[in-house]
Amino acid sequence: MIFTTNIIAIRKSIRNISLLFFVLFSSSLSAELQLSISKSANDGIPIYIANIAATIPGGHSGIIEADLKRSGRFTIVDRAKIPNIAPFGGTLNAVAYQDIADYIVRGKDDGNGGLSIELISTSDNAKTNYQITANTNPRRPAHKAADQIFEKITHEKGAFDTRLAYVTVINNASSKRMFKLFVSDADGYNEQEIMSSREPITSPTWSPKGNELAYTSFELNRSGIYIQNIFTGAKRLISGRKGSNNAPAWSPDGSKLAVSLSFTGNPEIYTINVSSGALKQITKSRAIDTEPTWNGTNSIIFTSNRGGKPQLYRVSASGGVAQRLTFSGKYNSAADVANNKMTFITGNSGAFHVAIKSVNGGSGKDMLSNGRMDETPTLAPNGTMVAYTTLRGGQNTLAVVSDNGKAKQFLKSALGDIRYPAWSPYLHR
Amino acid sequence: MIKLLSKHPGALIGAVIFHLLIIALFILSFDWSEKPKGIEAGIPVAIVLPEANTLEVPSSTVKAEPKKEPSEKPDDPGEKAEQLKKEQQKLAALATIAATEKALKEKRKAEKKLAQKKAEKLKLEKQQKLKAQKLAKAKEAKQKAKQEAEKKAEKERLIQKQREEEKAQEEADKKAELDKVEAENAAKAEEEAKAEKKRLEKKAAKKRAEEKAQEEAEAKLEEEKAEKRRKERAEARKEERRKEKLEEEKKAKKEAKRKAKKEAAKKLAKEKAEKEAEERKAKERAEKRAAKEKVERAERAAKAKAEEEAKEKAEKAAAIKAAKAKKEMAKKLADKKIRDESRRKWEEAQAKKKADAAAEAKKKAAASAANKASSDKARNGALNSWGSKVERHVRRHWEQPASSSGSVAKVRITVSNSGYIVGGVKVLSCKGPPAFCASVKEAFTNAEPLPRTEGKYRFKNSDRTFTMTMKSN
Repeated sequence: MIFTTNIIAIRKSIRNISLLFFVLFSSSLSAELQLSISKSANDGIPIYIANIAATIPGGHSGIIEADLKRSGRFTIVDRAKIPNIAPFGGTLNAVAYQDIADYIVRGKDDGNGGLSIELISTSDNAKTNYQITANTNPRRPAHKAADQIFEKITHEKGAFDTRLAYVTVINNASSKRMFKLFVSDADGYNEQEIMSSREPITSPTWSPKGNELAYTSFELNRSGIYIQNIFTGAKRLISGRKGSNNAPAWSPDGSKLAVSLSFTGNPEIYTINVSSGALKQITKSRAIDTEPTWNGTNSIIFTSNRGGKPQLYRVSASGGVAQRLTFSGKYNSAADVANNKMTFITGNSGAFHVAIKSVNGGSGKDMLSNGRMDETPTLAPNGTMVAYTTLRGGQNTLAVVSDNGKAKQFLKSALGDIRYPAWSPYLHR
Repeated sequence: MIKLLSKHPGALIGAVIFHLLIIALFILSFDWSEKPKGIEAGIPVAIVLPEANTLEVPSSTVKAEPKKEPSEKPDDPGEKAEQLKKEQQKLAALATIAATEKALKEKRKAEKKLAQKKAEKLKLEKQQKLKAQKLAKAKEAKQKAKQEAEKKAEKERLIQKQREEEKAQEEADKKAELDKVEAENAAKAEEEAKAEKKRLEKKAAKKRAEEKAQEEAEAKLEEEKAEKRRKERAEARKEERRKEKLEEEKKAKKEAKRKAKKEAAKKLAKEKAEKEAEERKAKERAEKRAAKEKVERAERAAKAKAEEEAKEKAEKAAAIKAAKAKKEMAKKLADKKIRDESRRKWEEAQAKKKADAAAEAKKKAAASAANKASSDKARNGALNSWGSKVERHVRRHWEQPASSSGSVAKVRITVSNSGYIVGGVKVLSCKGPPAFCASVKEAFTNAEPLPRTEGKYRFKNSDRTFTMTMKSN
């Protein structure tokens, strides 16, 4: 009886905590990150966005403008160039503005947080309407609108309504050092703490459904890979084997984690079934094999120094002979794959930059960054933007750059160093 | 690891000392000495053997009481007193025993304590001794290690010295070699210098000989020149004499001439005088003749005058006649002129009319051509402008894939009036990765609808067909 009562009390307290956590996550909090656009899109598609007022900072139009600008594909036309434009739903001869913009966006907040959007082409006056429902996060309707506009114009799925996970190190130089795992909107707003620890937290990775994070934590004074539900807070240990348990990467179907374990002596790539915990060894060599990332469901790309220096290799998800992918440069590592594009770190004359290349293309690569110590790049799910950490003013800062290199944005935390960013998949809720 | 240690001698020494310390401690942890007796064994509790006098102290526990035989007699007061006395004695003895025992116990205790203290002291001493031994051993080991290190250092110094000596020897050998080579070179150079000197001397001698020859030649030349000059002088003198002679002859001639001239002048004067005289005569004659002629002239003049007057008269009449004729002629001419003039004017007017008409026609044709040209120009301009718009529009929608730098593609498309591509995108050529070629096609399809042409120009499909070259960054 007493035991049952205790169980009930425990369950009740867990429920209350998770509800509190859910409410905290869904509600809007004041942004802690500062934004600055360092390079605007050049020769992008000119688009005019009429003012769409809202109670949130910048209004819906401000969020849509910032999203489209960040993709590196659009040039935002100054509102002064079309003064006194007819409001949403009003008559508009868009063809008259052909020389100013290719598209005109008008919108209206329905008063409950929902959004109505008109996208008008100036070449033929064609109009497309969108209805976005309200969300507990008042910024999300504008992100969803930006996704719709992006998809209509570029024929690529938008990835503005997504999230970023990252680790912030507070009081790094003191004995009171704390590691905090955060999740925020993809533009850095609405930051929410998922967990904190005095011991390091590294390499968060998103589940395909976007409701769980797997990460490495040293909270038991040794490395372990954990899975935590970001809404309920429920957490479990997936691997706490002897040696290092590191660099988890979730498979696209959500059934497995690719990890780097060293319990046999040197780090090798394994897959762990998330439900059963079944372990399968993928690589077997005397080298250090680490930082796995999935390339579809059937192959894994990882970093290995089996050739003498760190390079990227691809291996079947069921194991076998690894095929080398990178040949130019002495150092290539930390790959992330999305939409047939691969971003990675490449060493060049003592500095480390972010590069991008086609997964199935030739050996050529495009450089996206020019910092001295750029690390841990992660791709948006549509492959159009890359988030990575860079050393700026003595502090690790989060940077987001478009895949064509035309737009760059820095997200600096007032709390401390930002590390290990991970871009979420498309959101379902 | 050995290689690493050999690079850091300090670390090597420290490692050796540490290992030796461990060995020393290990060795010292064993009890190599004979088992010590009694206290030296470090047994905290001293085993105290009982002293001789204590053996005789009756033990209250051992004492066997004599068997008390039951007295057959009834209690006698004397016996009672004796018994009492005995008991008292017994008690006193017991008390004494007890006191003695107590004293013994205390003594034993004290001795025990003393022994304990002694044992502790010994233990401490032993420990100190061990410590000292350990220190000594460590010191020894350190000393040994130091010595070994010094030996090693010495060895290394020797090796280094040897190496340096070898190096010095090598250098010396090299230097000797170099010196040898230098000497050889010097000798060679000397020989060459000698040869050169010889050659120079030869050359100089040759030069001297040449110079000498030249001098001789010059001297010879000089002599010849002097000879020549002498000859020339002689000839000059000869010439001078000849000239002088000529001069004298000339003078003589001149003199003769002058004389002849003088005579001629005399003759001339004489002739002149004669002439004058003749002239006077002739003049007179001429005057006479002139007078005569004058008269005759006057007569003639009068005659001529009369003739002239008659002639004038005739001429006048003729002139009047001529004037009349002329007038008539002029009139005829004037009439003709007027007629010609009017005809000419009429012809001119006709010609002008014709020319005007031609000019008008030409002007019209030119205007029409200009209109057509400007219309064509405007049309072409509109087409070019539309082409630029299409190019700009497609470029904005074209996302080049990563790692496609240097790629080029050529495509042909036809755009309908509504801005949509007719018949698909025809890729004429593509030099680049497959992703780049695919992105070129996607650029056009993503960009639809393309900008439209201006409605006032009726562009045909052929006008709205163009070829575009797409180059990556």
